[in-house]
Amino acid sequence: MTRPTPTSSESQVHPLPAPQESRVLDTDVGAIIGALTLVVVGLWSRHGGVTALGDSAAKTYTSLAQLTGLLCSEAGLLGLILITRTPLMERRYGLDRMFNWHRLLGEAMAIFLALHIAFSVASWAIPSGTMNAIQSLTGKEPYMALTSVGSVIVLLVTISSLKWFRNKLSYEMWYFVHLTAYFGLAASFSHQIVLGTDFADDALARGFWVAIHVALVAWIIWSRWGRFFVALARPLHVSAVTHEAEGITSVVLSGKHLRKAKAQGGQFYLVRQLVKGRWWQSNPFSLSAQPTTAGLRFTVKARGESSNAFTNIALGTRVIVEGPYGVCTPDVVNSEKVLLVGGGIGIGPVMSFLEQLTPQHEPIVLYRVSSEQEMSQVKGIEGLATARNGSVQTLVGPRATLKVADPFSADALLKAVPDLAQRVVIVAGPESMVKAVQRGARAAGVPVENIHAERAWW
Amino acid sequence: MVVVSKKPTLSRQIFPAVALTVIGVGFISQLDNPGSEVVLEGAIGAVTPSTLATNTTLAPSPVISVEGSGTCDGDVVTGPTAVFKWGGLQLQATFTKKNVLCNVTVLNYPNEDDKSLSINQSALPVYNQEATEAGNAQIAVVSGATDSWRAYTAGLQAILDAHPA
Repeated sequence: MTRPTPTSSESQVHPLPAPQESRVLDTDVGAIIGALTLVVVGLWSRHGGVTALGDSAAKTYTSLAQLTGLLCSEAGLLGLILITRTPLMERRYGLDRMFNWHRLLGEAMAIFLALHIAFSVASWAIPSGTMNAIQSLTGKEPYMALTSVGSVIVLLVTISSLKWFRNKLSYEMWYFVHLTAYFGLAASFSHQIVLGTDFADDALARGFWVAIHVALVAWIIWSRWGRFFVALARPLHVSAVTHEAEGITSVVLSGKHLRKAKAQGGQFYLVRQLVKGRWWQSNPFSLSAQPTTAGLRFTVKARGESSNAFTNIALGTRVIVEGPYGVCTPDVVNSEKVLLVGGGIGIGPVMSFLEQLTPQHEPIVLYRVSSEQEMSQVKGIEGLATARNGSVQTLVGPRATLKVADPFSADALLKAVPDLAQRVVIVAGPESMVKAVQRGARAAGVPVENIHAERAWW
Repeated sequence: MVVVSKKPTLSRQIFPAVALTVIGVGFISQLDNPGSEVVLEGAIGAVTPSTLATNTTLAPSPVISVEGSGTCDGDVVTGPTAVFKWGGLQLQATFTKKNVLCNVTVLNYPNEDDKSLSINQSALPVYNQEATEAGNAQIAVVSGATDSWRAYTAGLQAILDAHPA
């Protein structure tokens, strides 16, 4: 491993400072959602939506089609705000919660879309018959052919994101299907402006609608491409690769730009290799050591096409990172004692978290893996824990071979950690394990606000 | 490392909601209200003299033969003037002997400005056609001509109500 001799200013390795806290409050988010809903429903009502409800069947359906169409758009707009990953929200809620809300809003959008289509067809079918209505709404009316294609895409994207389907698709496949949603949404925008009674007839409403969409598109372009180019201007390189266990590799990324970076243990980055055929893909990787000016360390498990490519990465490969993300940082702990639970590759974030704790936290680490081969860095973890007045307990073996049905039940947890109720619980690992720990810890008397979970990002 | 967040003040929590609500309500109040009101004026059968002598005449709806109902030689009913946001709209409907609607003519429509004129000249013939085909006032709206649609359907419904089949 050859590295340029560090200059005197670079030779002083120090931990990276913590990223700034977000000033956004829950009430702010509520105010924005509330105001947008108010404007959307107000728009509909002001344009006669409410009075039309009691009128003839055709008018009632038309009015309901308008309302569901507007609400469909609102859910779409809010869902798209979330994928800008705006630090304003990310620093407060964390990317995993934002993704979750994005998914919920996507599902809400699909439901409103289905209702909107049903009400539109019903209202057009009254004067002209169902077949004529369907013909008009899929092609005859201006922009409706485009809109129909868009609706089909949006519905397909939603279906592909349902848990059942999502688990059957590779990440790469799902990602490409998901990208087409942009086209679907853009395709349906035209009919809102041209056919949508609320916008076609009212210049002010139309101006507002176009303006918020343009602003959102600009924001998304900035968040996707702008941040990509910023990261491109500050590339890092692979400075160390360590094989930890079967299929598990630690990679250290270094570069002079780290001197100005801010990050904390427990956080994660979106990482891209600048290698032909891979630059367009980013993977979320959790820090597995306290981030310092010397480097960011990630411990990666081979479990997909692009993460496989990371476990075999060559020294010196140029890499760009976007982040850091994640709100489960040592900031959530004050002076309380700490219990860290890491499952599988979730031990990575646990290590980086642990490294930033002090002896007053007396950290206990529970390390859960399904096989000996996957155990990694146990010595390192023990070293870190002992130096902080703490200890490590491991639980190895496939679930079926364990003596107890639920190793994270309140009883089992209390047996392993008698003072559990006085501790802050940090858990990272597979979703099922995170849920089991949350349930067990709560039952053992840990207040909800003292349980912090982070998804294991590879 | 230990960051104790300052608890936000009540005013900091409430201000954004109040400000955004005020802006939202202000915005909504500025929106076009499509004269939710359509007021019907004048009696059925009476031709309201046009307020505008220069009314550009529109082609009546094509006289279509209604199967089994004979030709368009029944009652001719002149509707009330449907007064709405942009002016007045008056229709005249012709029925077959068997009292099926078979033709609609627009007697008056708002044409004071170029915008009204162009909207109505393109939309009203469509409404005439749709109404004649449907035989009632359940017709689809032409985008951009919602106000006229409200007045038109209100006026036509008044004629149909006064002239039961």
